[in-house]
Amino acid sequence: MARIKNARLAEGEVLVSVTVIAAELSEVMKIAKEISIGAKNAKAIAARAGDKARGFQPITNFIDDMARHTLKMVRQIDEEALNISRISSQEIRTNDARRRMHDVVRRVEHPSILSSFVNVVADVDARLLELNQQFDKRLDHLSELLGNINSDMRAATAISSSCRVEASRAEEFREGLSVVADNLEKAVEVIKKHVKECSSRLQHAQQLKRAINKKIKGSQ
Amino acid sequence: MKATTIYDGKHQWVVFGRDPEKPEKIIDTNQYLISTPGRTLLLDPGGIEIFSSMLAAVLHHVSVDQITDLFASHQDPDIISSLGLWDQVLPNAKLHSPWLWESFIRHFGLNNIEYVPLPDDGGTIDLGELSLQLIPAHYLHSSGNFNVYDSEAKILFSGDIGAALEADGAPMFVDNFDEHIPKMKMFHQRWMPSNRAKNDWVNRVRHLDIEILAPQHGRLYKGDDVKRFLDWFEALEVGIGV
Repeated sequence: MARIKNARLAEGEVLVSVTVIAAELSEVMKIAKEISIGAKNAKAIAARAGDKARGFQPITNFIDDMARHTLKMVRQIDEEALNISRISSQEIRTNDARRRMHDVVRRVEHPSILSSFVNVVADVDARLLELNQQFDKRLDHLSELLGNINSDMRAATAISSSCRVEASRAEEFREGLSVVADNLEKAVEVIKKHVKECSSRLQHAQQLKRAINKKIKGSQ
Repeated sequence: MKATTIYDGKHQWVVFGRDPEKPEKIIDTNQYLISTPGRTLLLDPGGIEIFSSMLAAVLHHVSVDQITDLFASHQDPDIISSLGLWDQVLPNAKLHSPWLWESFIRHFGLNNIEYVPLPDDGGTIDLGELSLQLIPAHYLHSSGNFNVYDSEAKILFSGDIGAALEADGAPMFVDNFDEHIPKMKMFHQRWMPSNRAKNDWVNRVRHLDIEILAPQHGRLYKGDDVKRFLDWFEALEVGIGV
C-alpha cells in the first residue's frame, strides 16, 4: 500500500493521475484513427489485388472494426476519466469542509453549543462517504474499459501476424500489404504502451486512495 | 478569534477579528454578526483560511440553524472565499451580494445557498423584526460594492471604507484619530480609485445618524471619530497609483 505524509497533497495527486489518463488516451485516439484509415487503404489495395489477396480482404474489415471499437472505448474512458476527475474535485472540497468542521468541533469549548452543528458534520461525513463510493465504483469501471482496449490490442497482434502471412501470398501486392501489417504492428505497440501507462496511473491512484481513506479513518 | 458585542438591544451586533491563529501573511479581517430572535446575518464572513475560527466563534453566539443569511459587500477573497464551506454548512441560507459579481462569486462554490443579487441602487435586507438598509458604495473600492446601515443600532458597516492596516492584536476601536491616520492613509489612497465616487459616498453618508462606523479591516470608529473620519476621507486624494 502507498504511504502518504500529507493527505491533502495525496488527494491532489489522485486528481492529477486520473485527469492525466484522459490526456494520455488522446494519443491512442489519434493512432486508432490512423489504423482505421490504414484499414481503408488496405481494403483498396486488396480490391485491386483481387484473387491474389483474397485472404486479406476479410482481415481489413476486421482491422477497421477493431479500430472503431478502440475509438469507442477511448471515448468512454475519456468521459469516465472526466467524471472521476470531477468527483475527485468534489471529494477534495468536501474533505476540506469536513476537516474544517471537525476543527470547529475541537475549538468549541462547551459541547452544548455544538448540538445544532452535530447533524451538519454528520451530513458532510455521509456526503464524503458517498463520493468515496462513487469514486471507487467509477475507478473499477475505468479499469475494466482499459482492460477492453488491452483485449483489442491482443486481437490486433494476432491480426497483424495473419496480415503478414496473407501479404506474403499476394505476389506483386506483397510489399504494399506488408506495409499495412507493419503499420498495424507499430500502432498496436504504441497503444499498448499508452494503455500500460494509463493502467499504471490508475493503479497508483487506487493505492493512494486506499491510503487516504485509511488515514481519514484513523483520524476519526 | 476575538468576539466583541458592539450593540445589544432588541437585536445584537457582534464583531469577530484579531484571530491569533490566522496564517501570518493573510490580512486581518473583521467579520460581523447581526442576530435577531428569528434570523442571523453574517456580514463579509471572510476567507477560507479563517473559516474554522470564525464558525467556532459564531457558534458561541448562535446555533448553526439560526444562521439564515450571509452578506458579501463585494467579490474579494478576504470577504467571501469561504463561501464553498458555508455552502455545505448552511444549505438553506441566502447570500446577499451585488448582482455585478454573481457569476464571479459562484466560482468560490455555490451549490446550495441562494444568491440574492443586489441591484445597483441598493435596497434592504429584511431580517423579520429588523430591516437593514443597503448603501451603494460602488468603486470604494470594488466597482459593485455595498455598505449596510442599521438605523436602530446606528451602525454603518462600511466594508473597506475606513479600513486600516494594523499590527496583530490591535484594539477594536480607534482611541486616537490622529495617530490612526498613518495606518489607513495608504489603504484608501491606493485601493480607492475614484474621488468622484468617494465624495458622492461621503455626501450621502453624512445624512445618516451613525454612532459606529464599522470597517472590514482594522479598528471601528465611534461617536465623534465617525465625523472625523468622514472629514478626513473627503479631503483625501485617492486613486494615486498612476
